[in-house]
Amino acid sequence: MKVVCVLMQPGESRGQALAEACLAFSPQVALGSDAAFVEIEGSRQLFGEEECIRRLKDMLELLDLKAKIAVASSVPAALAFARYGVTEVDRLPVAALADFLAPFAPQPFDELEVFRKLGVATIGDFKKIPRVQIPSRFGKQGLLAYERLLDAGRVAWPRWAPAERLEERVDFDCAAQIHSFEPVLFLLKSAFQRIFLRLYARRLKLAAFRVTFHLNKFSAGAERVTEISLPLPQSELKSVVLLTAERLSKELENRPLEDALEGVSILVTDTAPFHEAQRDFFSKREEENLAWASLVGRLEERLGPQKAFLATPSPRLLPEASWGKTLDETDRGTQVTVPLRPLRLLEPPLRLQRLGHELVSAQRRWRFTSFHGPEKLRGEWWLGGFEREYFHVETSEGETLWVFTAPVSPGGPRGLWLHGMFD
Amino acid sequence: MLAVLQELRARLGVFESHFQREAFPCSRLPNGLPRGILAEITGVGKTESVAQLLAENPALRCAWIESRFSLLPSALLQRGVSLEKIFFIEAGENAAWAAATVLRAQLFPLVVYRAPYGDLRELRRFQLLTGKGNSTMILLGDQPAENAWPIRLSLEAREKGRRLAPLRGAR
Repeated sequence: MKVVCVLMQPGESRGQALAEACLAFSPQVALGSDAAFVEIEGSRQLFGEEECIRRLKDMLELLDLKAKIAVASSVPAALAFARYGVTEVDRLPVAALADFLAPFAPQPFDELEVFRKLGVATIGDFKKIPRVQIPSRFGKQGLLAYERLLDAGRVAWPRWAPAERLEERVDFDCAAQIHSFEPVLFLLKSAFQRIFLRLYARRLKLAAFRVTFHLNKFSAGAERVTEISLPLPQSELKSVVLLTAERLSKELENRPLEDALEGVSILVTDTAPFHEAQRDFFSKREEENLAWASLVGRLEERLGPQKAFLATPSPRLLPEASWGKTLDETDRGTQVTVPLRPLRLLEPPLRLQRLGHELVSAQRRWRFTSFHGPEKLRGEWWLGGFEREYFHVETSEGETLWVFTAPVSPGGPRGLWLHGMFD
Repeated sequence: MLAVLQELRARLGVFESHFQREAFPCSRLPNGLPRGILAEITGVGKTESVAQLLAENPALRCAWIESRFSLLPSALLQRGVSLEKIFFIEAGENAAWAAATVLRAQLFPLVVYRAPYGDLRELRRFQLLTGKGNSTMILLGDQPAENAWPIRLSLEAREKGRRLAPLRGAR
Protein backbone atom coordinates (compact mmCIF):
# COMPACT_ATOMS: atom_id res chain seq x y z
CA MET A 1 0.00 0.00 0.00
CA LYS A 2 1.12 3.50 -0.85
CA VAL A 3 -0.82 6.33 0.76
CA VAL A 4 -0.55 10.03 0.05
CA CYS A 5 -1.69 12.30 2.86
CA VAL A 6 -2.61 15.93 2.19
CA LEU A 7 -2.70 17.64 5.56
CA MET A 8 -4.65 20.90 5.55
CA GLN A 9 -4.13 23.81 7.89
CA PRO A 10 -6.13 23.72 11.15
CA GLY A 11 -9.67 25.01 10.71
CA GLU A 12 -9.70 24.58 6.93
CA SER A 13 -13.26 23.90 5.77
CA ARG A 14 -12.64 22.98 2.15
CA GLY A 15 -11.69 19.37 2.75
CA GLN A 16 -14.61 18.16 0.67
CA ALA A 17 -13.37 20.01 -2.41
CA LEU A 18 -9.85 18.72 -1.80
CA ALA A 19 -11.03 15.12 -1.48
CA GLU A 20 -13.12 15.42 -4.63
CA ALA A 21 -10.16 16.75 -6.58
CA CYS A 22 -8.08 13.83 -5.24
CA LEU A 23 -10.42 11.43 -7.06
CA ALA A 24 -8.37 12.31 -10.14
CA PHE A 25 -5.59 10.06 -8.76
CA SER A 26 -7.46 7.10 -7.37
CA PRO A 27 -10.99 6.02 -6.51
CA GLN A 28 -9.80 5.14 -2.99
CA VAL A 29 -10.00 8.45 -1.20
CA ALA A 30 -10.81 9.17 2.43
CA LEU A 31 -11.39 12.41 4.22
CA GLY A 32 -10.20 12.84 7.80
CA SER A 33 -10.87 15.72 10.14
CA ASP A 34 -7.89 17.67 8.85
CA ALA A 35 -6.45 15.62 6.00
CA ALA A 36 -7.34 13.83 2.79
CA PHE A 37 -5.85 10.41 1.98
CA VAL A 38 -5.34 8.83 -1.42
CA GLU A 39 -4.24 5.27 -2.04
CA ILE A 40 -1.94 5.40 -5.10
CA GLU A 41 -0.46 1.92 -5.17
CA GLY A 42 -2.97 0.82 -7.82
CA SER A 43 -2.30 3.87 -9.98
CA ARG A 44 1.47 3.60 -10.10
CA GLN A 45 1.32 2.43 -13.72
CA LEU A 46 -0.16 5.83 -14.59
CA PHE A 47 2.04 8.09 -12.49
CA GLY A 48 4.78 7.71 -9.94
CA GLU A 49 5.05 9.13 -6.46
CA GLU A 50 6.90 12.28 -7.54
CA GLU A 51 4.49 12.97 -10.39
CA CYS A 52 1.58 12.53 -8.02
CA ILE A 53 3.04 15.00 -5.53
CA ARG A 54 3.77 17.50 -8.30
CA ARG A 55 0.20 17.30 -9.56
CA LEU A 56 -1.18 17.57 -6.04
CA LYS A 57 0.83 20.74 -5.49
CA ASP A 58 -0.62 22.25 -8.70
CA MET A 59 -4.07 21.23 -7.56
CA LEU A 60 -3.61 22.84 -4.15
CA GLU A 61 -2.52 26.04 -5.83
CA LEU A 62 -5.67 26.07 -7.99
CA LEU A 63 -7.83 25.42 -4.94
CA ASP A 64 -5.96 28.12 -3.05
CA LEU A 65 -5.23 25.72 -0.19
CA LYS A 66 -2.12 25.48 1.91
CA ALA A 67 -1.27 21.91 2.88
CA LYS A 68 1.57 19.51 3.64
CA ILE A 69 1.98 16.38 1.55
CA ALA A 70 3.61 13.10 2.57
CA VAL A 71 3.73 9.56 1.24
CA ALA A 72 3.98 6.40 3.37
CA SER A 73 2.98 2.78 3.38
CA SER A 74 0.07 3.32 5.79
CA VAL A 75 -2.52 5.98 6.56
CA PRO A 76 -1.24 6.85 10.10
CA ALA A 77 2.38 6.99 8.97
CA ALA A 78 1.49 9.26 6.01
CA LEU A 79 -0.45 11.57 8.33
CA ALA A 80 2.35 11.68 10.91
CA PHE A 81 5.01 12.27 8.23
CA ALA A 82 2.98 15.16 6.84
CA ARG A 83 2.37 16.63 10.30
CA TYR A 84 5.93 16.37 11.64
CA GLY A 85 7.92 16.61 8.40
CA VAL A 86 9.98 13.43 8.93
CA THR A 87 10.21 10.39 6.72
CA GLU A 88 10.99 7.59 9.20
CA VAL A 89 8.54 6.20 11.74
CA ASP A 90 11.23 5.77 14.42
CA ARG A 91 12.16 9.45 14.26
CA LEU A 92 8.61 10.65 14.78
CA PRO A 93 7.93 12.34 18.16
CA VAL A 94 5.80 10.28 20.57
CA ALA A 95 2.97 12.82 20.10
CA ALA A 96 2.53 11.19 16.68
CA LEU A 97 1.02 8.17 18.46
CA ALA A 98 -2.25 10.14 18.40
CA ASP A 99 -2.21 9.85 14.61
CA PHE A 100 -1.68 6.10 14.88
CA LEU A 101 -4.53 5.68 17.33
CA ALA A 102 -7.18 7.41 15.21
CA PRO A 103 -5.74 8.69 11.93
CA PHE A 104 -9.06 9.91 10.49
CA ALA A 105 -10.04 11.86 13.63
CA PRO A 106 -6.89 12.29 15.78
CA GLN A 107 -7.41 13.04 19.50
CA PRO A 108 -4.71 14.40 21.83
CA PHE A 109 -2.64 11.62 23.40
CA ASP A 110 -3.09 11.59 27.22
CA GLU A 111 0.15 9.88 28.20
CA LEU A 112 2.59 12.46 26.81
CA GLU A 113 3.58 13.64 30.28
CA VAL A 114 4.50 10.07 31.31
CA PHE A 115 6.64 9.72 28.16
CA ARG A 116 8.40 12.99 28.93
CA LYS A 117 9.18 11.86 32.51
CA LEU A 118 10.56 8.56 31.25
CA GLY A 119 12.69 10.31 28.66
CA VAL A 120 10.85 8.71 25.72
CA ALA A 121 11.04 11.36 22.99
CA THR A 122 10.53 9.45 19.75
CA ILE A 123 8.55 6.49 18.52
CA GLY A 124 11.85 4.72 18.08
CA ASP A 125 12.41 5.06 21.86
CA PHE A 126 8.86 3.86 22.52
CA LYS A 127 9.35 0.74 20.41
CA LYS A 128 12.40 -0.19 22.51
CA ILE A 129 10.21 -0.61 25.64
CA PRO A 130 9.34 -4.30 26.16
CA ARG A 131 5.74 -5.00 25.26
CA VAL A 132 4.86 -6.56 28.64
CA GLN A 133 5.72 -3.28 30.41
CA ILE A 134 3.51 -1.10 28.24
CA PRO A 135 0.08 -1.71 29.89
CA SER A 136 1.46 -1.13 33.39
CA ARG A 137 3.34 2.02 32.36
CA PHE A 138 0.98 3.65 29.82
CA GLY A 139 -2.40 1.98 30.34
CA LYS A 140 -4.73 0.64 27.67
CA GLN A 141 -4.26 3.66 25.39
CA GLY A 142 -0.52 3.03 25.34
CA LEU A 143 -1.03 -0.64 24.50
CA LEU A 144 -3.47 0.21 21.72
CA ALA A 145 -1.01 2.74 20.30
CA TYR A 146 1.74 0.12 20.40
CA GLU A 147 -0.44 -2.42 18.57
CA ARG A 148 -1.43 0.15 15.93
CA LEU A 149 2.18 1.10 15.48
CA LEU A 150 3.10 -2.49 14.67
CA ASP A 151 0.08 -3.12 12.47
CA ALA A 152 -0.61 0.35 11.03
CA GLY A 153 -1.51 -0.97 7.56
CA ARG A 154 -4.73 -2.51 8.82
CA VAL A 155 -6.60 0.71 9.50
CA ALA A 156 -10.10 0.58 8.04
CA TRP A 157 -10.84 3.39 5.56
CA PRO A 158 -14.06 5.26 6.41
CA ARG A 159 -16.62 5.57 3.64
CA TRP A 160 -16.50 8.87 1.84
CA ALA A 161 -18.66 10.04 -1.06
CA PRO A 162 -18.41 13.30 -2.99
CA ALA A 163 -20.93 15.98 -2.06
CA GLU A 164 -24.10 16.28 -4.14
CA ARG A 165 -23.77 20.04 -4.31
CA LEU A 166 -20.86 21.30 -6.34
CA GLU A 167 -20.28 24.94 -5.58
CA GLU A 168 -17.27 27.23 -5.51
CA ARG A 169 -17.12 30.77 -4.26
CA VAL A 170 -14.35 33.29 -4.76
CA ASP A 171 -14.35 36.59 -2.90
CA PHE A 172 -12.56 39.88 -3.30
CA ASP A 173 -10.36 40.85 -0.36
CA CYS A 174 -12.90 43.59 0.33
CA ALA A 175 -16.16 44.47 -1.42
CA ALA A 176 -15.53 46.58 -4.52
CA GLN A 177 -17.62 48.68 -6.88
CA ILE A 178 -17.45 47.14 -10.35
CA HIS A 179 -17.07 49.49 -13.28
CA SER A 180 -15.63 47.05 -15.82
CA PHE A 181 -15.95 43.33 -16.39
CA GLU A 182 -12.23 42.55 -15.96
CA PRO A 183 -12.24 42.01 -12.17
CA VAL A 184 -15.35 39.82 -12.43
CA LEU A 185 -13.67 37.74 -15.11
CA PHE A 186 -10.72 37.29 -12.78
CA LEU A 187 -12.98 35.90 -10.05
CA LEU A 188 -14.97 33.79 -12.48
CA LYS A 189 -11.87 32.22 -13.93
CA SER A 190 -10.54 31.03 -10.60
CA ALA A 191 -13.98 29.75 -9.55
CA PHE A 192 -14.28 27.83 -12.84
CA GLN A 193 -10.78 26.40 -12.44
CA ARG A 194 -11.85 24.85 -9.14
CA ILE A 195 -15.16 23.66 -10.53
CA PHE A 196 -13.47 21.96 -13.48
CA LEU A 197 -10.86 20.40 -11.22
CA ARG A 198 -13.63 18.78 -9.20
CA LEU A 199 -15.69 17.85 -12.24
CA TYR A 200 -12.70 16.29 -13.97
CA ALA A 201 -11.93 14.20 -10.89
CA ARG A 202 -15.53 12.98 -10.83
CA ARG A 203 -15.46 12.27 -14.58
CA LEU A 204 -18.23 14.74 -15.28
CA LYS A 205 -18.80 17.44 -17.86
CA LEU A 206 -20.47 20.74 -17.12
CA ALA A 207 -23.96 21.05 -18.63
CA ALA A 208 -25.61 23.87 -16.66
CA PHE A 209 -24.65 26.17 -13.84
CA ARG A 210 -25.76 29.15 -11.80
CA VAL A 211 -23.57 32.21 -11.34
CA THR A 212 -24.34 34.30 -8.27
CA PHE A 213 -22.95 37.75 -7.67
CA HIS A 214 -22.75 38.34 -3.93
CA LEU A 215 -23.24 42.02 -3.32
CA ASN A 216 -22.45 43.96 -0.18
CA LYS A 217 -24.44 42.24 2.55
CA PHE A 218 -26.12 45.50 3.55
CA SER A 219 -27.45 45.94 0.03
CA ALA A 220 -31.20 45.57 -0.56
CA GLY A 221 -30.83 42.87 -3.22
CA ALA A 222 -27.85 41.06 -1.79
CA GLU A 223 -27.54 38.60 -4.70
CA ARG A 224 -27.83 38.59 -8.48
CA VAL A 225 -28.33 35.17 -10.02
CA THR A 226 -27.81 34.10 -13.65
CA GLU A 227 -28.61 30.62 -14.92
CA ILE A 228 -26.57 29.36 -17.85
CA SER A 229 -27.31 26.17 -19.73
CA LEU A 230 -24.79 24.93 -22.25
CA PRO A 231 -26.12 23.50 -25.53
CA LEU A 232 -23.52 20.71 -25.33
CA PRO A 233 -21.83 19.58 -22.08
CA GLN A 234 -18.28 20.88 -21.89
CA SER A 235 -15.09 19.84 -20.18
CA GLU A 236 -12.88 22.70 -21.28
CA LEU A 237 -12.34 25.67 -19.00
CA LYS A 238 -11.43 28.20 -21.66
CA SER A 239 -14.55 27.91 -23.75
CA VAL A 240 -16.91 27.99 -20.75
CA VAL A 241 -15.19 31.06 -19.31
CA LEU A 242 -15.40 32.76 -22.70
CA LEU A 243 -19.05 31.94 -23.08
CA THR A 244 -19.93 33.01 -19.52
CA ALA A 245 -17.96 36.21 -19.90
CA GLU A 246 -19.84 37.01 -23.10
CA ARG A 247 -23.22 36.48 -21.42
CA LEU A 248 -22.43 38.24 -18.14
CA SER A 249 -20.65 41.23 -19.65
CA LYS A 250 -23.73 41.85 -21.78
CA GLU A 251 -25.98 41.52 -18.74
CA LEU A 252 -23.87 43.79 -16.57
CA GLU A 253 -23.71 46.34 -19.35
CA ASN A 254 -27.50 46.43 -19.55
CA ARG A 255 -28.04 46.24 -15.81
CA PRO A 256 -25.01 47.23 -13.72
CA LEU A 257 -24.64 45.85 -10.20
CA GLU A 258 -26.51 47.95 -7.66
CA ASP A 259 -23.84 47.75 -4.97
CA ALA A 260 -20.27 46.75 -4.22
CA LEU A 261 -19.39 43.17 -5.18
CA GLU A 262 -18.08 40.87 -2.47
CA GLY A 263 -17.60 37.76 -4.52
CA VAL A 264 -18.86 35.36 -7.14
CA SER A 265 -20.02 31.80 -6.69
CA ILE A 266 -20.74 29.09 -9.22
CA LEU A 267 -23.13 26.27 -8.48
CA VAL A 268 -23.24 23.33 -10.88
CA THR A 269 -26.88 22.50 -11.61
CA ASP A 270 -26.46 19.84 -14.29
CA THR A 271 -23.69 17.55 -15.44
CA ALA A 272 -23.10 14.84 -18.03
CA PRO A 273 -20.81 11.78 -17.82
CA PHE A 274 -17.34 12.26 -19.18
CA HIS A 275 -15.84 9.02 -20.48
CA GLU A 276 -12.24 9.97 -20.68
CA ALA A 277 -9.76 7.53 -22.08
CA GLN A 278 -6.04 7.62 -22.66
CA ARG A 279 -5.24 10.28 -25.24
CA ASP A 280 -5.06 8.88 -28.76
CA PHE A 281 -2.06 10.51 -30.36
CA PHE A 282 -3.10 9.37 -33.82
CA SER A 283 -6.60 10.81 -33.76
CA LYS A 284 -7.82 14.38 -33.28
CA ARG A 285 -11.34 13.23 -32.44
CA GLU A 286 -11.18 14.27 -28.77
CA GLU A 287 -9.86 17.75 -29.55
CA GLU A 288 -12.45 18.12 -32.28
CA ASN A 289 -15.26 17.18 -29.90
CA LEU A 290 -14.06 19.78 -27.42
CA ALA A 291 -13.76 22.43 -30.13
CA TRP A 292 -17.20 21.46 -31.49
CA ALA A 293 -18.90 21.84 -28.09
CA SER A 294 -17.17 25.15 -27.58
CA LEU A 295 -18.14 26.43 -31.04
CA VAL A 296 -21.80 25.46 -30.64
CA GLY A 297 -21.87 27.11 -27.21
CA ARG A 298 -20.46 30.38 -28.50
CA LEU A 299 -22.72 30.47 -31.54
CA GLU A 300 -25.86 29.77 -29.51
CA GLU A 301 -24.88 32.35 -26.94
CA ARG A 302 -24.59 35.04 -29.59
CA LEU A 303 -27.24 33.98 -32.11
CA GLY A 304 -29.83 32.41 -29.83
CA PRO A 305 -31.07 28.87 -29.29
CA GLN A 306 -31.39 26.52 -32.28
CA LYS A 307 -29.61 28.90 -34.63
CA ALA A 308 -26.66 26.54 -35.03
CA PHE A 309 -27.70 22.99 -35.76
CA LEU A 310 -27.39 19.80 -37.75
CA ALA A 311 -30.36 18.86 -39.91
CA THR A 312 -32.14 15.55 -39.92
CA PRO A 313 -34.89 14.39 -42.31
CA SER A 314 -38.43 13.97 -40.96
CA PRO A 315 -40.96 11.54 -42.45
CA ARG A 316 -43.46 14.25 -43.44
CA LEU A 317 -44.75 15.26 -46.87
CA LEU A 318 -45.19 18.92 -46.07
CA PRO A 319 -41.97 20.38 -47.57
CA GLU A 320 -41.31 22.89 -44.77
CA ALA A 321 -41.74 20.12 -42.18
CA SER A 322 -39.56 17.59 -43.99
CA TRP A 323 -36.56 18.23 -41.76
CA GLY A 324 -35.74 19.00 -38.15
CA LYS A 325 -32.93 20.50 -36.11
CA THR A 326 -30.63 18.48 -33.90
CA LEU A 327 -27.16 18.58 -32.38
CA ASP A 328 -26.82 14.81 -32.22
CA GLU A 329 -24.47 13.61 -34.96
CA THR A 330 -25.84 10.08 -34.73
CA ASP A 331 -29.45 11.14 -35.36
CA ARG A 332 -30.06 10.07 -38.97
CA GLY A 333 -33.84 10.71 -38.99
CA THR A 334 -36.23 9.09 -41.48
CA GLN A 335 -36.29 10.05 -45.11
CA VAL A 336 -39.36 9.71 -47.34
CA THR A 337 -39.10 9.25 -51.09
CA VAL A 338 -40.58 12.24 -52.90
CA PRO A 339 -39.85 13.94 -56.24
CA LEU A 340 -36.88 16.31 -56.34
CA ARG A 341 -37.33 19.32 -54.10
CA PRO A 342 -35.77 22.78 -54.63
CA LEU A 343 -32.77 23.73 -52.51
CA ARG A 344 -34.30 27.06 -51.56
CA LEU A 345 -37.60 27.20 -49.72
CA LEU A 346 -39.42 30.40 -48.87
CA GLU A 347 -40.87 30.53 -45.39
CA PRO A 348 -43.61 31.70 -45.46
CA PRO A 349 -44.53 31.12 -49.13
CA LEU A 350 -44.83 34.25 -51.25
CA ARG A 351 -48.29 35.09 -52.61
CA LEU A 352 -48.30 35.37 -56.43
CA GLN A 353 -50.72 36.68 -59.02
CA ARG A 354 -50.79 35.33 -62.53
CA LEU A 355 -51.12 38.06 -65.13
CA GLY A 356 -50.95 36.55 -68.62
CA HIS A 357 -47.49 35.05 -68.99
CA GLU A 358 -46.21 36.70 -65.88
CA LEU A 359 -46.16 35.78 -62.22
CA VAL A 360 -46.21 38.83 -60.05
CA SER A 361 -45.39 39.21 -56.37
CA ALA A 362 -45.25 42.38 -54.28
CA GLN A 363 -41.49 42.72 -54.98
CA ARG A 364 -40.80 41.06 -58.30
CA ARG A 365 -42.25 39.74 -61.52
CA TRP A 366 -41.21 36.69 -63.55
CA ARG A 367 -42.07 35.97 -67.15
CA PHE A 368 -42.65 32.25 -67.37
CA THR A 369 -42.12 29.99 -70.36
CA SER A 370 -43.61 26.73 -69.10
CA PHE A 371 -45.45 25.05 -66.21
CA HIS A 372 -44.72 21.40 -65.34
CA GLY A 373 -46.87 19.40 -62.96
CA PRO A 374 -48.82 19.10 -60.90
CA GLU A 375 -47.50 17.09 -57.98
CA LYS A 376 -50.44 16.72 -55.66
CA LEU A 377 -49.73 16.73 -51.92
CA ARG A 378 -52.37 16.30 -49.29
CA GLY A 379 -52.54 14.84 -45.81
CA GLU A 380 -51.89 15.45 -42.14
CA TRP A 381 -55.62 15.80 -41.43
CA TRP A 382 -54.79 15.18 -37.78
CA LEU A 383 -52.89 18.48 -37.76
CA GLY A 384 -55.52 20.46 -39.63
CA GLY A 385 -54.64 19.06 -43.07
CA PHE A 386 -53.27 20.57 -46.27
CA GLU A 387 -53.90 20.19 -49.96
CA ARG A 388 -51.46 21.61 -52.47
CA GLU A 389 -50.63 21.19 -56.15
CA TYR A 390 -47.01 21.92 -56.93
CA PHE A 391 -45.63 23.04 -60.31
CA HIS A 392 -42.15 23.59 -61.70
CA VAL A 393 -42.20 26.90 -63.53
CA GLU A 394 -39.47 27.81 -66.03
CA THR A 395 -38.83 31.52 -66.40
CA SER A 396 -37.38 33.46 -69.29
CA GLU A 397 -34.34 34.29 -67.10
CA GLY A 398 -33.48 30.61 -66.76
CA GLU A 399 -34.76 30.17 -63.22
CA THR A 400 -36.93 27.28 -62.09
CA LEU A 401 -39.55 28.28 -59.55
CA TRP A 402 -41.50 25.91 -57.35
CA VAL A 403 -45.04 27.20 -56.99
CA PHE A 404 -48.17 25.69 -55.58
CA THR A 405 -51.87 26.30 -55.71
CA ALA A 406 -54.07 25.77 -52.68
CA PRO A 407 -57.45 27.00 -51.45
CA VAL A 408 -57.11 30.50 -50.05
CA SER A 409 -59.68 29.56 -47.39
CA PRO A 410 -61.44 26.24 -46.68
CA GLY A 411 -63.73 25.56 -49.65
CA GLY A 412 -62.73 28.91 -51.23
CA PRO A 413 -61.02 29.70 -54.57
CA ARG A 414 -57.45 28.53 -55.16
CA GLY A 415 -54.54 30.91 -54.86
CA LEU A 416 -50.96 30.74 -56.15
CA TRP A 417 -47.82 30.82 -53.99
CA LEU A 418 -44.11 30.75 -54.67
CA HIS A 419 -42.62 28.18 -52.30
CA GLY A 420 -39.10 27.68 -53.49
CA MET A 421 -36.42 28.02 -56.14
CA PHE A 422 -34.07 25.57 -57.80
CA ASP A 423 -31.07 27.80 -57.20
CA MET B 1 21.86 32.93 -50.73
CA LEU B 2 19.66 31.83 -53.63
CA ALA B 3 18.90 28.57 -51.89
CA VAL B 4 17.86 30.44 -48.75
CA LEU B 5 15.61 32.71 -50.80
CA GLN B 6 14.06 29.72 -52.54
CA GLU B 7 13.45 28.03 -49.23
CA LEU B 8 11.87 31.16 -47.81
CA ARG B 9 9.67 31.50 -50.86
CA ALA B 10 8.67 27.88 -50.62
CA ARG B 11 7.78 28.32 -46.94
CA LEU B 12 5.83 31.49 -47.52
CA GLY B 13 4.15 30.07 -50.62
CA VAL B 14 4.91 33.28 -52.52
CA PHE B 15 4.85 31.77 -55.97
CA GLU B 16 2.34 29.14 -55.20
CA SER B 17 -0.76 29.51 -57.31
CA HIS B 18 -3.99 27.94 -56.19
CA PHE B 19 -3.61 25.31 -58.91
CA GLN B 20 -0.70 23.84 -56.99
CA ARG B 21 -2.70 23.74 -53.81
CA GLU B 22 -4.51 20.77 -52.47
CA ALA B 23 -8.03 20.79 -53.93
CA PHE B 24 -11.44 19.26 -53.35
CA PRO B 25 -12.37 17.16 -56.38
CA CYS B 26 -15.30 18.65 -58.26
CA SER B 27 -16.61 17.38 -61.59
CA ARG B 28 -17.64 20.92 -62.52
CA LEU B 29 -14.12 22.30 -62.11
CA PRO B 30 -11.34 20.52 -64.00
CA ASN B 31 -8.72 21.29 -61.32
CA GLY B 32 -11.09 20.90 -58.41
CA LEU B 33 -11.79 23.58 -55.82
CA PRO B 34 -8.52 24.70 -54.20
CA ARG B 35 -8.17 24.61 -50.43
CA GLY B 36 -7.32 27.64 -48.34
CA ILE B 37 -8.92 30.26 -50.59
CA LEU B 38 -11.91 32.53 -50.74
CA ALA B 39 -14.11 31.64 -53.71
CA GLU B 40 -17.31 33.15 -55.01
CA ILE B 41 -20.12 31.49 -56.94
CA THR B 42 -22.86 33.57 -58.52
CA GLY B 43 -25.68 32.96 -60.98
CA VAL B 44 -28.67 30.66 -61.14
CA GLY B 45 -27.67 27.18 -59.98
CA LYS B 46 -25.01 28.25 -57.46
CA THR B 47 -26.57 26.30 -54.59
CA GLU B 48 -26.99 23.26 -56.84
CA SER B 49 -23.30 23.38 -57.72
CA VAL B 50 -22.30 23.52 -54.03
CA ALA B 51 -24.63 20.58 -53.34
CA GLN B 52 -22.91 18.69 -56.16
CA LEU B 53 -19.48 19.47 -54.64
CA LEU B 54 -20.65 18.17 -51.26
CA ALA B 55 -22.15 15.05 -52.80
CA GLU B 56 -18.85 14.33 -54.55
CA ASN B 57 -16.94 14.76 -51.26
CA PRO B 58 -19.05 12.81 -48.77
CA ALA B 59 -16.43 12.91 -46.00
CA LEU B 60 -16.07 16.69 -46.19
CA ARG B 61 -17.27 18.58 -43.11
CA CYS B 62 -18.93 21.81 -44.03
CA ALA B 63 -20.36 24.79 -42.18
CA TRP B 64 -23.21 26.46 -44.05
CA ILE B 65 -23.88 29.99 -42.86
CA GLU B 66 -26.90 31.97 -44.00
CA SER B 67 -28.11 35.33 -42.79
CA ARG B 68 -31.73 34.23 -43.30
CA PHE B 69 -32.01 30.48 -43.50
CA SER B 70 -33.89 29.46 -46.65
CA LEU B 71 -32.14 26.21 -47.46
CA LEU B 72 -34.12 22.96 -47.55
CA PRO B 73 -31.82 20.35 -45.96
CA SER B 74 -34.00 17.43 -47.06
CA ALA B 75 -33.40 18.58 -50.66
CA LEU B 76 -29.65 18.37 -50.03
CA LEU B 77 -30.17 14.79 -48.92
CA GLN B 78 -32.00 14.05 -52.19
CA ARG B 79 -28.87 15.20 -54.02
CA GLY B 80 -26.67 12.71 -52.16
CA VAL B 81 -25.26 15.06 -49.50
CA SER B 82 -24.55 13.54 -46.05
CA LEU B 83 -26.47 15.82 -43.73
CA GLU B 84 -24.54 14.75 -40.64
CA LYS B 85 -21.46 16.44 -42.12
CA ILE B 86 -23.13 19.81 -42.60
CA PHE B 87 -23.39 22.28 -39.74
CA PHE B 88 -26.00 24.93 -40.46
CA ILE B 89 -25.96 28.38 -38.93
CA GLU B 90 -28.69 30.95 -39.22
CA ALA B 91 -26.74 34.01 -38.27
CA GLY B 92 -28.97 36.99 -39.09
CA GLU B 93 -26.94 40.19 -38.87
CA ASN B 94 -24.05 38.34 -37.25
CA ALA B 95 -23.18 36.30 -40.34
CA ALA B 96 -19.69 37.75 -40.69
CA TRP B 97 -18.95 37.17 -37.01
CA ALA B 98 -20.29 33.60 -37.26
CA ALA B 99 -18.14 32.92 -40.33
CA ALA B 100 -15.02 34.25 -38.61
CA THR B 101 -15.77 32.17 -35.49
CA VAL B 102 -16.28 29.02 -37.55
CA LEU B 103 -13.10 29.61 -39.55
CA ARG B 104 -11.13 30.21 -36.37
CA ALA B 105 -12.35 26.92 -34.91
CA GLN B 106 -10.66 25.15 -37.87
CA LEU B 107 -13.17 22.32 -37.71
CA PHE B 108 -14.57 22.67 -41.21
CA PRO B 109 -12.49 22.42 -44.37
CA LEU B 110 -15.36 24.04 -46.27
CA VAL B 111 -17.47 27.02 -45.25
CA VAL B 112 -20.41 28.13 -47.39
CA TYR B 113 -21.53 31.70 -46.77
CA ARG B 114 -24.75 33.20 -48.04
CA ALA B 115 -25.10 36.68 -46.66
CA PRO B 116 -24.30 40.13 -48.03
CA TYR B 117 -20.55 40.49 -48.59
CA GLY B 118 -18.32 42.99 -50.32
CA ASP B 119 -16.73 44.91 -47.47
CA LEU B 120 -13.03 44.62 -48.26
CA ARG B 121 -11.90 44.52 -44.64
CA GLU B 122 -14.29 41.69 -43.92
CA LEU B 123 -13.21 39.78 -47.02
CA ARG B 124 -9.57 40.27 -46.12
CA ARG B 125 -10.29 38.82 -42.68
CA PHE B 126 -11.95 35.80 -44.28
CA GLN B 127 -9.01 35.42 -46.65
CA LEU B 128 -6.51 35.39 -43.80
CA LEU B 129 -8.55 32.92 -41.79
CA THR B 130 -9.06 30.55 -44.72
CA GLY B 131 -5.35 30.66 -45.45
CA LYS B 132 -4.48 29.98 -41.82
CA GLY B 133 -6.89 27.07 -41.45
CA ASN B 134 -6.41 25.74 -44.99
CA SER B 135 -10.16 25.84 -45.39
CA THR B 136 -12.10 27.05 -48.39
CA MET B 137 -14.87 29.58 -48.06
CA ILE B 138 -17.48 29.78 -50.79
CA LEU B 139 -19.43 33.01 -50.96
CA LEU B 140 -22.81 32.66 -52.63
CA GLY B 141 -24.00 35.87 -54.25
CA ASP B 142 -26.37 37.11 -56.91
CA GLN B 143 -23.76 39.27 -58.67
CA PRO B 144 -19.94 39.02 -58.66
CA ALA B 145 -18.43 41.42 -56.13
CA GLU B 146 -16.54 44.31 -57.71
CA ASN B 147 -12.93 45.11 -56.77
CA ALA B 148 -13.01 42.33 -54.19
CA TRP B 149 -9.37 41.31 -54.54
CA PRO B 150 -9.33 38.91 -51.56
CA ILE B 151 -11.68 36.66 -53.53
CA ARG B 152 -9.24 34.35 -55.26
CA LEU B 153 -11.67 32.54 -57.52
CA SER B 154 -14.91 33.85 -58.98
CA LEU B 155 -17.20 31.38 -60.68
CA GLU B 156 -20.56 31.70 -62.35
CA ALA B 157 -23.06 28.86 -62.32
CA ARG B 158 -24.50 28.22 -65.75
CA GLU B 159 -27.03 25.77 -67.13
CA LYS B 160 -28.72 25.64 -63.72
CA GLY B 161 -25.55 24.71 -61.94
CA ARG B 162 -24.49 21.96 -64.33
CA ARG B 163 -21.47 24.03 -65.34
CA LEU B 164 -19.25 26.44 -63.46
CA ALA B 165 -17.70 29.13 -65.62
CA PRO B 166 -14.66 30.93 -64.23
CA LEU B 167 -14.97 34.72 -64.21
CA ARG B 168 -11.71 35.48 -62.43
CA GLY B 169 -8.78 33.66 -60.92
CA ALA B 170 -9.07 30.31 -62.74
CA ARG B 171 -6.86 28.98 -65.51
